[in-house]
Amino acid sequence: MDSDNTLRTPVRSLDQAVAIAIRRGLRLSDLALEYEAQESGRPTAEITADMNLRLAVMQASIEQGCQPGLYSRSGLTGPVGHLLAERERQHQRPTLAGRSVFLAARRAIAIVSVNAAMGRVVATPTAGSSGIVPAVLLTAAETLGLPSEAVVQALFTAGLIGLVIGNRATLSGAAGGCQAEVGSAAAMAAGAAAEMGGGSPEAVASAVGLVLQNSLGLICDPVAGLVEIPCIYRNAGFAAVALVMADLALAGVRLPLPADEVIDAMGQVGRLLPVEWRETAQGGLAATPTACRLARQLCGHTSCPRATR
Amino acid sequence: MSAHYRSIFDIIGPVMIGPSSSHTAGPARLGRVARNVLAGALAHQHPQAQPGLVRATLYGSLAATARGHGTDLALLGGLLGLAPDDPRLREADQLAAQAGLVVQWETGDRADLEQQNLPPTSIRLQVWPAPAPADDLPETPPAVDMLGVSVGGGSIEVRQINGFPVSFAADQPTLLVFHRDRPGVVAQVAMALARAGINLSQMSLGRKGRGRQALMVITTDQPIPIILTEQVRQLSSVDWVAVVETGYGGMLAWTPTTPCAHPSGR
Repeated sequence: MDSDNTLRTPVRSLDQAVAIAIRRGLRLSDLALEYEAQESGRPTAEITADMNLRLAVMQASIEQGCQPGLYSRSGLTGPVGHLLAERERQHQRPTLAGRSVFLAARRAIAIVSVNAAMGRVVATPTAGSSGIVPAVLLTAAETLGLPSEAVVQALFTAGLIGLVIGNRATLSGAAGGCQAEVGSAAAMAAGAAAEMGGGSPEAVASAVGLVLQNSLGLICDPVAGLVEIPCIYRNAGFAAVALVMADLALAGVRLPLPADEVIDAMGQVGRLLPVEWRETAQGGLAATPTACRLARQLCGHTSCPRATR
Repeated sequence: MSAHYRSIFDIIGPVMIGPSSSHTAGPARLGRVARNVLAGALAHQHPQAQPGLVRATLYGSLAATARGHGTDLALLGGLLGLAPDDPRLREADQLAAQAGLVVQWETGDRADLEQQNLPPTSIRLQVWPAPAPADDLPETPPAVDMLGVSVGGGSIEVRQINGFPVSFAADQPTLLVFHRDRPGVVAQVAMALARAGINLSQMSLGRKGRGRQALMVITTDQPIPIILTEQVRQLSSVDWVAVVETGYGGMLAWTPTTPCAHPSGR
């Protein structure tokens, strides 16, 4: 096969992947599956089965995350998934966000709540941002009336987008702030959802750029150093952003900036973020007086800046 | 400087126990690598050497949020041989106490980190075998002195082992061969692997000086059978051999866990 027509490791360009997909009349998910088979030497059936297993773990986390007794290990949050499931049942008072967005938010929260309880999740791309991709894709499948095979397929598109972001910029909150985790997860989810909605490879790339311009600059400031506040709520918020941006892309909205350049901008912003805003719990929400008190109470320590600073 | 993610499953995965891929799953995997290296280093004395005392130095963000991210439990779990998706990570502190594993937690100096050009999620693990020495500061040097990075998303990179600069991600079977710098050792090891039908995907070689201690790091496309490890260990210029587990072990045997109840006493 012509080397210009396949993905090679390390995958570093989404724009190039889009060009290849268009040339060959493939979806990005097909290209991603082909790449994984080539790279691992495993048959595609085995790879798809492996992804299916991960989807099962995601679904189990959603179920667990809506249990009434689910609290985080610290006790600081819970049982949020249950509260939202209850809210959904109140038919006289419909949710303001509408069924699809609310459901995605509820599912995202359920997964990250399980994560905060040291339960089992699939990191997509990280554990702190693990709610967004499954929530958005499962909700999109439901809205579009697609079977679970379509979700498995879309997970490959999401993975391909994540590979590019990880190899061009970063997926780590400690290196690039929350935009690198929650922002990347929402970009992956929006791109994959756009493909599920019948969008072209360009629509996928647009969805990625549209999400990242919403999340640019988002800092990582976990209260008491716990993956709870704001992480859990940001997963809900950016699940909604992902769905809306996927819709924008499907409506034909295109950014004049190539997706790769938007990803580079995210990487650059991450490098410029002060260390206090990169998962050290020394700035933002984590440095508020109440957060410092909670840190002392819950963990017996505080990583907050001293009063003299 | 960015990481090199190769597989789609590095991004959609790993399946893991929360709450943080970089601060929980990564450290669990680094702990397990240290355990594997220790087992290799002491294989000639004990067939299954276990960590007894570990001095864990956490740098940067890892040190700042270790407790909140369960980094302590994850590292303990990894040192006990648990995979990152093993629900027993939650009670790794109790398991460590039962196994007689003692950990001293240290906070690394940020200047030190920048000087060595290491990312803010680095961990140094100095490991002495069980039983843990009675005094807190053993006079013997650690059997394993390893520096690794949790690069994000559960991926790791091992950067130093016992003074040798290395670079491997432990996402493929990895063979570490500590040997003396003599002509032909590499050929002997490569030949042993070739005869077993094992393909090398990456190989690096470093030495402390001409004719002195050297380290070969080999990653392979196929699992490394124990009999092969034994063969390599018996080569005349080889001191010891360690096989690093890939760290995603438990996933395929996945079973639903009990819902995580709220903490006791609430």
